[in-house]
Formats: sequence, C-alpha cells, structure tokens
Amino acid sequence: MNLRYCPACGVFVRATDLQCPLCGKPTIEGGTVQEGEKLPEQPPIVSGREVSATGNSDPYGEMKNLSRGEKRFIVVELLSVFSGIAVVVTLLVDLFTSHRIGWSLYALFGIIAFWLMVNIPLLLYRHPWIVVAILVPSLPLLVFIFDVLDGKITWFLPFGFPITILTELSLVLTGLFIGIMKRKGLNIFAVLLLGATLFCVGLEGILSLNFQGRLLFSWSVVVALSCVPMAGILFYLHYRIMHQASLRKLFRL
Amino acid sequence: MRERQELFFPLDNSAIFMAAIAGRKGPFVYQFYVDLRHPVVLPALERAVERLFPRFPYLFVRLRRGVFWQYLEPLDKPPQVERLPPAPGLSMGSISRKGLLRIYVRGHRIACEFHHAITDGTGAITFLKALVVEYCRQLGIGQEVDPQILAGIPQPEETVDPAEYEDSYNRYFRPGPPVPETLPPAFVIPGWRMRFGYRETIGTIPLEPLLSYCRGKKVSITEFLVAVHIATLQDLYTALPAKKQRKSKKIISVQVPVNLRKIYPSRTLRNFFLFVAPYIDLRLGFWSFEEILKRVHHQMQLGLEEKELVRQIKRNVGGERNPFNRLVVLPIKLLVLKLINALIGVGSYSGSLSNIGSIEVPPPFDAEIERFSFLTSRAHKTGANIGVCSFKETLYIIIGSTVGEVEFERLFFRRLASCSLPVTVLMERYGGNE
Repeated sequence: MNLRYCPACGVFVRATDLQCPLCGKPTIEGGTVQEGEKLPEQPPIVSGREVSATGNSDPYGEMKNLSRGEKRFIVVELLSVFSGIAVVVTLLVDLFTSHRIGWSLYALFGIIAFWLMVNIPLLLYRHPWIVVAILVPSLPLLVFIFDVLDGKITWFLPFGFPITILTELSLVLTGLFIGIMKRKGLNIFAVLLLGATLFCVGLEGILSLNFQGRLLFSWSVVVALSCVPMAGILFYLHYRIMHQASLRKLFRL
Repeated sequence: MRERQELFFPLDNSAIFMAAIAGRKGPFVYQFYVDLRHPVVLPALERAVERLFPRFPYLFVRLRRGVFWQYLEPLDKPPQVERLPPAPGLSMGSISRKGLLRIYVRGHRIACEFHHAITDGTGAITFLKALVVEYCRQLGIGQEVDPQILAGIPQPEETVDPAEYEDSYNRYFRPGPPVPETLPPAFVIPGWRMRFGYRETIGTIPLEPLLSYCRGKKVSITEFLVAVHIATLQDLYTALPAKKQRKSKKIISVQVPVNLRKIYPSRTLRNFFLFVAPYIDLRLGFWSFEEILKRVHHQMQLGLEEKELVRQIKRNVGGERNPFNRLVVLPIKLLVLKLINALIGVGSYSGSLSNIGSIEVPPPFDAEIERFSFLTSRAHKTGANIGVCSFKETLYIIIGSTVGEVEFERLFFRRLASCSLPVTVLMERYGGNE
C-alpha cells in the first residue's frame, strides 16, 4: 500500500497527508508498507462526523440526524406559527368583545417583542454581534411604542428607555462573559449573579434619580453584598475545585 | 456517556503520595518504549490507540482535585499520538488537562510516558504490549493468532475487569504490624544536575553469560545489579577529596521496587509495589564487592518476606485510612505530604534500580520488535536511576541520569565488564545543552 513518509519524524503517514500530522513538515512520496501489512480502514467522514461502517439503522434517528442549524430553524418555524396564531386570536377576541382594536395592541407588541428576542438569536446564532445590533435598538423602540399606544409619551423617557438600556447592558455583558468562558459550569451562575447585581444597582439608581432627584442606594447594596461574595465562591468552586465534577467525586472521603 | 462522566478512580496509596509531591525535580514520569524493525505507520498506531482507549479507562485519565482527595477522571477521547519530545520524562504538571498517559512516536520508536499516579511498571508494560500487538494487527500481522496465545495481553474487545483497577494496597492492609524503621539520609551522586537535559545510557548483556555468572554467585540478577550499583556509588564516594568525604552522608542505599503481585494474588494494573532498600554503612569501612553482594542478597531476601512488606503497607495505608486524616482538606494534605517527603522521603536513598524482568511477546508479533526499553523517572536528588528489562536473549540496563558528568555510568559499566560480562554500551542525550 502506498503511503507518504515524514523524513523529520521517520514515520509513515496516510497517503492524503501532504504535511506530517506530528511535526507539520512536508511529507514525501514513496513509502510502502511491507508485504502482508495493510492500513486500517478508516470510517467514512460525513459532515465532519464519523458514521459507523454499518450505517444508521435507527428508526427514530431522523430528528437525531438533523444538524443543529436545521433543529434551530424548526424551532423558529414553530414559534412563528404559534406567535401568528396568538396574534390573530388576540386581535379577533378584542374585535369581537370591544368591536375595535384596543388592548390587543399591547398583547400584539408583547408577542412581537417575544418573537424578536427568541428568534433573532436562534436565526443568527453564529453572528452574536448582528443579534446585538438588531435587538439593542429594537427593544427600546418597542417600549416606546408601548408608551405611545395611548397617544402620549409619559413614562418612556424617565423610566422605559433607561431601564431597557440597563436591561440590555446587563444581558449583553452577562452573555459576553458566558460566551468567552472556555469551560462552563458554576461560573455561569456566578456571572448571572453579577449581572443581576448590576441590574439591581442600576435600577435603584434610575428609580432614585426619578423619585428623589439624586442617586440613593439601599436595597441594591444588600443585593450586591449577598451576590458578589456568592459569585466569588462559585468562581472558586468552579476554577479550583469542581472542573465539572460530580459531588460524589468531589466530596469522597 | 453519563456513566463514563460519573466514573472516577480514587488514587491508590502510592499514587496519593506521588501525585502530591511530583514536581520539576521529581516528576514521577517514566517512559516505556519499543523499537520496531520498521518505521512506525502512524495511522495504524492511531487506530490501535483508539481501539484500546475503552479497554484501559483507568490509564487514560487525568488528575483532578476534590475537596479531600485527588482522583483520576477518565478522558473523553483518546490522546493524540505526538512526536517524541526532545526531553523525555518532564513534569506533567500537578493538574494535567492532557492526561497522565501520553503516546509518542518517532522513526521506529513507539514510546509511552506514564505518570506514576496511574500505574507501575507492570501496568505500563502490559499496556505497551497490548498497544504493540494491536498496532501489528492493524497492519494485518497476527490477525489469525489464537486468543489463548495472547493470554495476559489485554485485547480491545475484552470487557474491563474491575480487578484490574482495584486498590490492592487497601485490600491487603492489616492494622496490627509495627511500622518499619526509617533509614538515615543517604549519600547521592555528587555533581551538578541538568535542568532539562536527560541522558539515557543503555547497556546490553546477553542473558546466558549473565545468568551463569549469577548462578555461580548464588544471587539473582537484580541482587547482582544492585550490588554493582552500590559498589559504584562507593567508588564515587571513595574518589571524593577527603574534605568532601567527611561532609558526605555515610549510608549508601538503593531502592528496589518489588512487584507485590508476585506475593499477593492481585491482578491490578494500577500501582502495587513497595520497596526493599539494601544498604551499606560507610562508617564500617570499605566494602569489597563480594561483601556487598552477600549483604545485598540477604537484605533482599529479608525485605521480600511478606511480614516485612506488610509493615510498609501498614505505614503507608494506615495514614490514608485514619478517619482524622481523611477529614483534612486536600490543600493541607498536600502540604503535609510534601513535608514528609522533604524530611524522610527521597533523602533516605542514593538511587533506585527497577527490574521489570523478562518482557515476552508471542510470535509473530515478536518478529516486529527490535527491543523494549524503559527510562526511569528523573530524580534531581539522586541524579541517576537504573531500569532493567530483558527481551528475547538480551538484558537491557538503562541508566537515566540528570547528572552533568558521566562518571557514574562509566564506573557502573566498567564494573560489569570487570566481571567478564560482554557489555555493549549506547548513550543517548535528550534536550538541554547544560
């Protein structure tokens, strides 16, 4: 059987390996394996996954065979159908009972907000920054529409806009930190706690500025004092102790 | 998959100690290798590793830290075969993500590096034999061989026997016996140590003349080589200037690992060994080789008695089983073990000599093998350690050394040759230009 040969490592490699998988240096042609020796049959590679030589005979395996992208698309489709049904039903009920479209507009924009927040990340899974670029302006816009549905702007500027931005900031930062973590476990909960702390402190700041005219922190400090040490403990457990291990392993006496 | 995630192996008694004190100066990483008659075919080797991966869940592991103990966690996928590194036996790190068994290849050589926390020489050579046999089969060699002939060499299709990963120290622990006495600090090879470099000196002797020489002296091969080791160290001591001699330690003691599977009916492939440590006291004067040989023979015979070995098991395992010790959290345990090692550990020995014995591989696989060999773990304190094994009709003596000068190797093999034994010496240096 023809093989290639790595002069640097002195080993035979596959005929398809133009560079040595061990040292990365170019391989040369001309290697042969002794009489009677043969290379193992490698399983075929399909879409980056190895499949068994016998093929897939699982009768329930159709869903399993779908790629993650295909599965996500099915979820988007289902959610869109259900959201559409919910919108139509809500509008019809409102029309039937009040003979005009009134309260159902709130439900309509609520459903639109839900659709955007769930489906945009699913559709643009591989492009988190595009998700952020779409959702960050969309949500304040929806909140603004909520406020002006009754014909005048009342709570959007003092409360709606800053709280929406604060929520987005907390979510983006939390998502960013979770996204860049190489090994996920208890550290996710720690980041969630820190994100919640940020949100609580910001929320109290916004509320106190509007109600009392200056920054005052009271309950959010208690939240921070509880959550930050807890997050520290979770980080410690995750990075120093657990390594995704079960409690049975960790606490064996 | 869930079962595999939940699977873990508590460290055996030796592993607890070695995992705790392993570091750059004593990494407890040793290498077994096989030189084949033809250059290695990488895809076949990778396939062999892949096939053996589920068969050795207790070897393909990484070290993890719990609250009270460290433990071994099986890897999710087989390790990648890597190019043989320029410096063998370097520290794998206290907590290694990569796993504690690494497989290397270069030219005709397949090398496996083991951390002593996972297995001893018996487990290591069993794995290497299984790997070589499976590699040959991947090349189409020996596929028709009767499985009976391969008894003792684990096969990929076999199920894992729990007896292979039992902690046999705990099984044969007895609470009664008194603990053994500790030895005073021992003389070690003088001279500077290489930081990364490692020198491998291989001496080969045909088995037949060696066996007849040992029979003539009524000693075993191990006893003879330990006596040569001690005599060589004595030569180094004697060659020191008077002032340095006065300052040197006066005990020359060589650690000899004993395979406890030959004494207890254990089938474990994890650590199951203890040490016998023959020694001489230089304050009693100069020892002739005959005197050393006689003393080593008797000390080895006494040390190999089950009643002596059980005292060591009591000392080692007793501490592990103590309820108070078990409740101590891991960082404190590690600290205490390091302290114990610094006070009474490696300082009591001048070196070690580990005889793996005869390595047998059935035909037609043996025809593919040039030789087996193994490189003991680096030990900066002692400087040089010796590994011994035999394959077919040849005995291989491998001195792994971090000592700057080659005086120890020179004296050791010169003494062997002076016994009219046909010794051939080959030296390889790895890494470091210190």
